Amino acid sequence: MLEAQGLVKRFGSIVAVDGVSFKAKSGQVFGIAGPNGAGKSTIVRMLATILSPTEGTAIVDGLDIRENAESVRKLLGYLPEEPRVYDYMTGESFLEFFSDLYRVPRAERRVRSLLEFVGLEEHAHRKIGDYSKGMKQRISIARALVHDPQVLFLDEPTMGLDPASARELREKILSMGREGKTILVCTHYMDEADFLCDQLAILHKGKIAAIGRPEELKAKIAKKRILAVVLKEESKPEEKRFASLLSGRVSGRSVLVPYHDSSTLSSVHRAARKTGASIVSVHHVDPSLDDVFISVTRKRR
Amino acid sequence: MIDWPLVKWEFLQTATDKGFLVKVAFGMLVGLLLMPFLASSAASFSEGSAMPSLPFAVRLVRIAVVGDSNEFVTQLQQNTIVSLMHTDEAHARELLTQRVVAGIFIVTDSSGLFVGDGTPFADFAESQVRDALDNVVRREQRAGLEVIQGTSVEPFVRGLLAPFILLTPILLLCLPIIQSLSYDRENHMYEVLFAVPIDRKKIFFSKILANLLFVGLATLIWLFLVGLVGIFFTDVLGVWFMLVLVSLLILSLNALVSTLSSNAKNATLASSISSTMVFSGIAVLTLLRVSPLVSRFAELSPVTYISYQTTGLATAFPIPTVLVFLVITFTALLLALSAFSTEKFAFSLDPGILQLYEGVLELLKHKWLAALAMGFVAFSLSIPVQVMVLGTLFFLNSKLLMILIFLISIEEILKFIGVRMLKPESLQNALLFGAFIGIGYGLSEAFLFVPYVDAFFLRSIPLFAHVLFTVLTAIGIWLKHPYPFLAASIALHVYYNSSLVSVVIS
Repeated sequence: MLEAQGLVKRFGSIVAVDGVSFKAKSGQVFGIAGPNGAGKSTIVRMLATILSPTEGTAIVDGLDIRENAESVRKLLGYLPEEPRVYDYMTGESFLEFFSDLYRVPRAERRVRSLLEFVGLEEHAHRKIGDYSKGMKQRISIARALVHDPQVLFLDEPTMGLDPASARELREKILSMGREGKTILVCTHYMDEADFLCDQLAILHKGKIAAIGRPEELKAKIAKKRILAVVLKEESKPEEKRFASLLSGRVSGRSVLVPYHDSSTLSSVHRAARKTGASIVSVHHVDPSLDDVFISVTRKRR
Repeated sequence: MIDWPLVKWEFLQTATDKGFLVKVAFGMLVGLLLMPFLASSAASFSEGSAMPSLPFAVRLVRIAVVGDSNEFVTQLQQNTIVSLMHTDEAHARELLTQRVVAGIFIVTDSSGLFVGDGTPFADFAESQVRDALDNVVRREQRAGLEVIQGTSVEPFVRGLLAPFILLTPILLLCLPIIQSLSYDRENHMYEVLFAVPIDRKKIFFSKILANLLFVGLATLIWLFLVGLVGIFFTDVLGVWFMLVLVSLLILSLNALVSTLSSNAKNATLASSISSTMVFSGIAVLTLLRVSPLVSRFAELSPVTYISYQTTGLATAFPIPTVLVFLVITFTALLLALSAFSTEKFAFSLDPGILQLYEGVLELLKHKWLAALAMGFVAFSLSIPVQVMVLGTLFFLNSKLLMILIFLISIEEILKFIGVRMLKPESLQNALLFGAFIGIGYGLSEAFLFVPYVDAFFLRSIPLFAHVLFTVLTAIGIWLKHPYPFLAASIALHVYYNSSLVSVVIS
């Protein structure tokens, strides 16, 4: 349904995307995760035919994005990173406007049902300029769906939403995936990627650093187990130095340290002595996607 | 080329913008009120000095009048700046000492005596008395002439200023295109608009067309409204078409500045500059009417045509004007579309003039086609610049050779800029770009002579001349010694044109 083939995008001397290839099947939620500036939005813009690739191409439902850009656009719904809306239009007229642009026949228009889908039916006649940021994001999602696209590109769909709305939206994305739509989600929230994606590509400096099912990715680094070291409250000032000596990172109350072999425990105690930190407990933990992300990006630094 | 649903939404957006419509209505109302005022001022103007005829002048200066009222006093009474106090001489002198009056006018049969106290107010009062006396004396001496003045000044003002008042609302009516293009850019709307299955060219031209339809409708109403204050045209449809033509040019220039500016504020500023240039250009062209030597250039100005139409002269619709306007409009649209088509346009907030070249290349795909377009662009840019320079040099009474040197330098420099933007990297490239810029320029020049068929054939030789001069410039750029070669091409061009002029004159 969606296949990127060696996508490259250069802006002058800057290589924003460097040979990205992946495949997403129908009904699948495919995630692209990575830090800001990794090239996620550039990939989505190329797939949405807004930017033209410097090299490579992509196939959407059998159509080449370079050769059949206009036909590809009919198939896809695109939600940019920030809500792009006309403040002077009402929610309803905004959706009518885009229904017109997508040539959706009057009888098949879903303006009312989409407003209900995103919970804005009561605000249909209000100007979008008066909407909150979350409401603007929701009307943008409805806008991306006006022509009932089979492929959806969602760039940071929950950014700026409150936790409840974000959760509600994630459920909706999953339900659309169950309807058979192919969904590409860009996110820098690893828990969101873990929750949503059937397949995930971790992007680093324009290249795919790791790709696979979230469980597979976690299992790969689970072989390199992680130690969670809890320090005493009074050792809080030494926490960062302690973590850096062990190439670990601070996560909540613990310092997560990669476990190599039995000597790792000795290293932990050495680091505690060196920094003057007092240890409360040490135990093994299962890695999260955050750990996967840090592991693969650090490897490529 | 057009997406009708988008045209509908764009049109409705402008036509239902209450704030904007109020501004347009206000602008038109000012224009309507200004017309009778100008006409009455023009009528009063023929009677004497301009200032006292202004209706807003108040009676600022008091003058004591001693003696019986006669024709001089009656004339003075018509002056709206002075107020008269009839009294005897002793009282008048007392009033002057107390500075209640600025001067004393002692009336005699044939003339009069003015007494002042040397203050600026007294000087001013004296000049008003002098004007009144002059008017009476002049009227008596040249009774026949007064009638001619009385009927000729008003139509002149009406014929020259009415077109400007008629054209002024166009500046306002053409502003929404800036809002349309710049708002979408500032708010990153192109990120979603370019993702819908509509070609970018269609989006661009639909926006232009929607705005043109709005302006077309508004100018039609405007033409009806000006009829209410007594301005009529021999050919209303022709005048309307002329207004639409000027509007299309202003819209295209506004579209261009919108695609090159980072926000609507900058675009509006740039638009006011470009619109002022257009208006100054057509004003300069119109003023060339005063000399028989260059009066045919004045026929190119829409103001000249509208002016004839207001004075009841049935003149033919000026096809050369249409061609000149279409050439410049087409260039502005080509450049605006080129800028609009670039990725920088959709995502960069800091666009620059260089994106034009990238856009032209992106749009036309081949460098030789881009070179041809550059020649066309150079020609369009040369028209307003040359008109301005020609007007200035003419009023400075410059010699023909001087005029030729200036005009040709403008042509060659603009073609030179075109070659520079294309950056020829080899001799072959330099020859190709130079030749195609020359062809583009020469063809556009020839196109304008379409109505004069004989001249069109005459222009085929200068087409090769343009190719030759531009190739010379391009070789200079390739050799990294651009300026001596540019100077050489200007010199050759001047020599060629001066020999052409001498042949035509002989």
